[in-house]
Amino acid sequence: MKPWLWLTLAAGLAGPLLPARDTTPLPTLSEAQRKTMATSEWLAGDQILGGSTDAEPPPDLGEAPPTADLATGKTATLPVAEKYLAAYFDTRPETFLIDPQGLLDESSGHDLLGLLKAHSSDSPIDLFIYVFAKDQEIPGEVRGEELSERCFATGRPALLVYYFLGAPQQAALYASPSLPETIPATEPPQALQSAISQASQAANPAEQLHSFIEQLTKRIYRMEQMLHSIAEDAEGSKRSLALAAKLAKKSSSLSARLARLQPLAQKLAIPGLLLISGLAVILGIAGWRRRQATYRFPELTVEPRLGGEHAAGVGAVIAFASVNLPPASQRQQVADDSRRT
Amino acid sequence: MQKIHRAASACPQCGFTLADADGQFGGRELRLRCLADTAGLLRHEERERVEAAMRRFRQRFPQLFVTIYTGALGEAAHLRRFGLWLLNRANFVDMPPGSSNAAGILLTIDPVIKTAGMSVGYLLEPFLEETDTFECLARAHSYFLEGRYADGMIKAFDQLTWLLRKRSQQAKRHPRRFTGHLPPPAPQEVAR
Repeated sequence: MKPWLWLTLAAGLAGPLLPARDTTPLPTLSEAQRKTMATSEWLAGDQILGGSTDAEPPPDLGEAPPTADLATGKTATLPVAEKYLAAYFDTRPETFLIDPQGLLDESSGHDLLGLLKAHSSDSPIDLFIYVFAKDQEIPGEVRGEELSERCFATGRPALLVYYFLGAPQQAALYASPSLPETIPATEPPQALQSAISQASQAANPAEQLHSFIEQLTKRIYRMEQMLHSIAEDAEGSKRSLALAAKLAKKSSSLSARLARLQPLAQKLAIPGLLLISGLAVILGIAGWRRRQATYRFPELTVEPRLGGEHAAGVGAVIAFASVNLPPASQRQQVADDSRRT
Repeated sequence: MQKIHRAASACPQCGFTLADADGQFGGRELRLRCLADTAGLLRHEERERVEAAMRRFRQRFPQLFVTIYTGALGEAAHLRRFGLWLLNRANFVDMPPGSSNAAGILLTIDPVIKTAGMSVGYLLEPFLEETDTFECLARAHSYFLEGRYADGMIKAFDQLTWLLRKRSQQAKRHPRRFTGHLPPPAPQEVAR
């Protein structure tokens, strides 16, 4: 404790004991005045000074009303009445909007249920909304994780939301065990925050819940897209694995076939090489002989003509003066005096 | 169509004889090399290539030889007559002694009138037709047209080699096919 506080306390205690030197005297009231003031109005210090002792006891207010929790800023909460617990938490609900307390009016409940049903028909992930009042508290023995494991272990994947009407920021989300593990763990909490943010912009509690559900269904759709892409990737990798396996099988069958042929190939390799070499040698020799070959003609007796001792003009003439006069057009040789006809 | 008899001394149509060619080109013997490029169509390197081709031909056909003459002769008819005259009157100095011009094949090129002719001696007469010599010239035509005379000469000899090789083999297998190549002499034509 601080020194100045000690000093104050000490002075307070010692004050009556010490002789008053310069103090203002307390007012002195006559008995009549005292009674008049007591009946007419509040008398300051009356209780302390031990005036009247016949004051009425404070009224019995019964159960203490909820008080605000100054530390968290939350209003004090009341647990959900026991009679509703079974309807909320005993089994997997048959409807997507669980409101056994009837907190939503009929039309709002109908609309929201329609919204949830429409979502369920479009999506592989169901959405269950447990509706509680703003100031209600879920009993400690009921845990969301336990509920999801107990009631939602089988069946379609689902997301459960504890929604406190008028206080969307208190909403809690739980995923069923059947929700694919391929969805990143950060995705459901992000979806919840996004839905809370969307709901907070509406004023009416029913509208808040509507916005909440709408936003959450959008985020669930995003999760589905992620699931699809993951599934497609998995399918693609499966397909490529299958293709690789097929190719491997084919190559293995080919290699097996080659392995079967290998002994035969080894047996035939040397004879084959010899054969090919022999053929190459033969072809080479044939080509060489052909290049070296000489050709002779029988010397037939030809009687000289035109007085020529060695030749008598058998031969052709061709003109190459122009491209317009090709050999084909000159095939018919013009007869002249030295032509044999 | 009238045929000149083997022993006909003159053309039955125009009476042409070698003596007429002698009057046109000269009656004395002409000394020439087998490659007589008097027109100067071949460069040194081309000349060597052509001579090599001529040597290869002689190696393959030991009985035969090829000669080339280039020069201005005037007109196509002269070229034909000149071929006949040159094969009969030329003395090819680079041929072995005792070689007969009857085994010769003459390629004549006139670069002025742009005409080429091919004449053969009596040895090849039974084995070559006029169309065969024409095919050899036709093979060289495009080269001559471009002025690539050496290439044209070599191509013509290649074609001639292919043709003669075939004919040689045919003559070996079917000699009788070529013995009846020319008609037998007719007494009245011989008398003429």
